[in-house]
Amino acid sequence: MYTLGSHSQDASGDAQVRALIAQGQILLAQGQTEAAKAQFDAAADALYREYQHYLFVLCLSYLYDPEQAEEMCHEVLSTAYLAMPTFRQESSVKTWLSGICHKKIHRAHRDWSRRKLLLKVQQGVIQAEVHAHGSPNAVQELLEMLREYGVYTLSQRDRTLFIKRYIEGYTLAELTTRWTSETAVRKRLAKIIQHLQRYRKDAWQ
Amino acid sequence: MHGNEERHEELAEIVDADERVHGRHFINEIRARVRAVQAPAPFRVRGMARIRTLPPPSPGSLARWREALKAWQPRPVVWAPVLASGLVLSLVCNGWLGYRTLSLQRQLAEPFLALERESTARELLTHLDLRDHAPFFNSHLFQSSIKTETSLGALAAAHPAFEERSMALGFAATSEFYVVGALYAEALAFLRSGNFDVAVKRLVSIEKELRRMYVPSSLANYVSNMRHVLESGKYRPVVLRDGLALFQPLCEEYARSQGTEQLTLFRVGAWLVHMRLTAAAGDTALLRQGNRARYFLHEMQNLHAPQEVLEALGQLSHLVAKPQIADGDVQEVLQLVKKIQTILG
Repeated sequence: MYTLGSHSQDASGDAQVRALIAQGQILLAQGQTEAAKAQFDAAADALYREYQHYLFVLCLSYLYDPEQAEEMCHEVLSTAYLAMPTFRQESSVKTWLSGICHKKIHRAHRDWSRRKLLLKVQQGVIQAEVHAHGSPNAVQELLEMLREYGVYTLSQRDRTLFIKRYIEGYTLAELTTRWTSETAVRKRLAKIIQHLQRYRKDAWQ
Repeated sequence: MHGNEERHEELAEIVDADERVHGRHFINEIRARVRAVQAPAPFRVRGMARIRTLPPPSPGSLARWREALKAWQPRPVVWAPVLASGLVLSLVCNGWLGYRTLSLQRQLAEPFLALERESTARELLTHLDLRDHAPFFNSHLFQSSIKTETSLGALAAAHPAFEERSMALGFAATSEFYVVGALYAEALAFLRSGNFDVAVKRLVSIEKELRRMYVPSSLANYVSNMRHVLESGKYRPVVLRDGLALFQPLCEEYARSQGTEQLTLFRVGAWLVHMRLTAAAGDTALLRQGNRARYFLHEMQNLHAPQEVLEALGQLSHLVAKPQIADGDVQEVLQLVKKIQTILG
């Protein structure tokens, strides 16, 4: 089951995945491609075991469609698998996967079909589709909540900040950048929450 | 500064409290729902099946390049002097090319900058006559440089270009451009003196000559229009002079299209009138046209001009090439020019 937690904290499977990738890199440098492939396959399996729920929720938060979220997860993990020889281990595995995922999702948002899907979400059509597909209740409830609070009405920057903080579990310190202080992040998050609560109040009362 | 930091801390506390207190319910709710979400059951199986279809991971080309760059250690002892000498060489080449271009531009612009000042026109003519292989011809500029107490119109009337019938029929048959050049120089001289009636007559002659030569109608129409403008008397003499001066480049361009010999004849016609006016005015300084005289002698030899003309031009070039031209020489120049005009006209 997916658990919220800091990206900098060492998760249970992080060390295992790192070790497998490092061994694969060493074998690849020695020219033992078959053995290296076996290590990388084992690392991919560990990635699936440890991070499948995390990635699925993350993709679902952005894409609002379970099928597309699953497809996106597979794309992200395939990319990570192919990039394992160049993984420099300067960040946690979770941050590495998150980076790949965000890049792919932002690229996918430029695609017209995804935009049409988001438009349908805004129009409330997606709720009926979720019921029709008979998705698990937890997925349905999460999507309903996102829609109920109008997360899709946020700008792309605010939506990314919201998802990173409350769905991916980044800490405030991790969300600060060279150009954004922690105070600014806090202030922005408070405004986002106020906006979502106001939206829910106006839409459902 | 200190006050700002306190304010920021206070604001951060308020915001932090806002996130925790006001959004507490929302945050707890969404985190609970996120924890409840799981990937579909065959998720990992499907993913691993897909991964097995992929090619084995290998360092990409970018990584290979990165490794190669890391491994490459240039020898600073060898490369530094090479790069430094290349830079210095580039600077020297660029500086030399820039200086050469600028000096060439200045050299080319020098005579034309002098055109802006009427007082320097004489120096300019002398300068161009001394240094140019192909002499510079501008009738308007030349006539404005002649120093004379009598008006140019009176001098032109006293020394007309055409007094007698042509003596060299074979050559004269092809010398229409000579006639046009001489008539143009006279028209300009009369116009400069305010003798508009005589200038109009010269323009009529030019127009007739041009129509007879079947030149493009635009050239003849230009002369015709200038004649109408002169007759109307609406414009100041300066404007009229400038307008008529434009005929020279137009006619020279057409003459050049017909052959270099036609261009030479046009210039000879105008130049002889100028020489005669200058000699009549007694301007010995401007009469020193040695280079031009030699140039025309050479060109007329190529045109197979009559022997008398060539002999007269030879004597003329000898006279005007003298450093000091005496009064006797001036009279001789007048007679020689008159002789040449009589033969060619």
